[in-house]
Amino acid sequence: MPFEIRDLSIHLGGTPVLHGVDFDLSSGGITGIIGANGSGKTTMLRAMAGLLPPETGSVLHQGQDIAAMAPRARARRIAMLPQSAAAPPGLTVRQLVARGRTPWMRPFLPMGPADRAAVDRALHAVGLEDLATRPVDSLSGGQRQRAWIALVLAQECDTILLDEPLNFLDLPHQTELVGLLRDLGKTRSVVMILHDLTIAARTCDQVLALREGRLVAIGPPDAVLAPVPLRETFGIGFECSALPDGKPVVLPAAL
Amino acid sequence: MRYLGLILLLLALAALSLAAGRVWLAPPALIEALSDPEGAGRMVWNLRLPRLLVGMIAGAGFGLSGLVFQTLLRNPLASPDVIGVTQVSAFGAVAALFFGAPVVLGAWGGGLAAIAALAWLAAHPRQGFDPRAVVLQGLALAIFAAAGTEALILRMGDSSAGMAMTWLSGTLNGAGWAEVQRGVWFAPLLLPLLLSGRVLDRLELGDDLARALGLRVGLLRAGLGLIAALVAAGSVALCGPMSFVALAAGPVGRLVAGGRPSPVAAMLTGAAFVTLADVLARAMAPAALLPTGLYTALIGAPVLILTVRRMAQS
Repeated sequence: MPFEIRDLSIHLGGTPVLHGVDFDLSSGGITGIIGANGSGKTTMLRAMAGLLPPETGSVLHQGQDIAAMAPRARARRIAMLPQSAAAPPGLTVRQLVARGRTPWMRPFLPMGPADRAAVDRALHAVGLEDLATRPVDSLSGGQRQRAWIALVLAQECDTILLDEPLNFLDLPHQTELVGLLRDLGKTRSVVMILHDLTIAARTCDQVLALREGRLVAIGPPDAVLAPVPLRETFGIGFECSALPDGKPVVLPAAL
Repeated sequence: MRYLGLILLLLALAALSLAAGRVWLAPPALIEALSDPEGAGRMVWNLRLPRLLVGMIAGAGFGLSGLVFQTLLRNPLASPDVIGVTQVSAFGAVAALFFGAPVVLGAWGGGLAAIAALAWLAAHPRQGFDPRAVVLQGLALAIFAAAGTEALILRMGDSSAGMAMTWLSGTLNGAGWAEVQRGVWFAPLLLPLLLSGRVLDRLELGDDLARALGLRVGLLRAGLGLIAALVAAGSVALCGPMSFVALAAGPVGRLVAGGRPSPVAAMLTGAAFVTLADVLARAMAPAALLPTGLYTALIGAPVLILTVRRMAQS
């Protein structure tokens, strides 16, 4: 069980953002977090990464309370890619990906052969070996996002948290990245925030819906991405239908 | 190898600094002077060498603290002489002069007061650490401290006021072995900043990612900020606030280090910068011995403009 969230409440600057959230996430596969703006999705993800201390409750990762873990030990188990991460100007793809080895590197010593091999594997996994020496800021949006994903892969954690990884990508790049994320979900537990409900329906093994800091629903996509839980989550009506091949399509009813 | 050019430049400037002055020494005379501290080399050993060492230590300190503050605050303008650390240290030093206390204690006390004030002013109850707030409020702190310093100088006698004004421009005049000893005493503080390259580099990726990579961001930022403030204050105590060194050394060092925050490059750049300015101070007007700080400003402004243009182009 990668995550057991128990009665989790979080306050930011004195304002409650999550209220008594309680759920378990099963191992492996892709979990999508959905919800309107301000529903607490990013706060939930940051809490799961151990970046926010709970006001009450706890976040257990593989049975261990992450609040009690040393930051370095935690970073060897859980990787997180924040929303709209920006690389410093001129940083090459390989240099960026190498940053993912930070929790494994000894203080003040350079990367060893194992670190370099992990960076090579991460670059290979995202198909960026040929662009490894290019500055990140010279890449297209899709390539750039793959470089960031390679950074979290180089961290070699079995749990990866991604905050809106498909943001600002055009449809071909979204499709390409979804394929990559599906591959990742076969060997790791991936938790990501998504806004496109059809992509969530087609990509995720389970979906978690939040509204105003409270858990509305959690379960397989066909159970959560249904008109009733979606209305509870977003406050508007949705049409959920299936294409002839059985794949779901989810759209706001008003469109 | 990346820093070899900077090291060679610094060594060349050091040799030039030992040779420059009212009496210029050709290379054979300089070698002879260095090998005879008690005889022909007394001027070099008693005046020029300590002056060079004090300038290099102070320049290294300014360069390092500049890079650390600029990186911690994610702002190339956020050097200690812009966010008030230097000015409050200088105020502390002038206050110490005014009350007859040791200048070093005044400068260090000022540095500590500056970092405490910045931490207090910048602590946002809702958003946590806000680098923009630190820079803007630091600017206000700098103006406030400069006004306080002027007020103290106006209340001093003519000779003390003149001395304080020269010192406030940043001067190595009168730097001797006592100052070198003081510099050596505070030099260990440079070490943690020198070793902070990886931390600074990861902090540039943003707080959340740095923490997700296992860094104790709050602790590291507070610790490095405190040490950088003490180093800036220590440099001020050695030779007064040398304009532009802290501001320019970080970006120039970055350019040398391929865009990465490099403490080694910033330290070497700062030391080279002050040494060059001091050579110019003695070469241009050997009789007047104008404050070295005037020349750091004269060189620093165009160097900074060229560096920023070069960085923007690349």
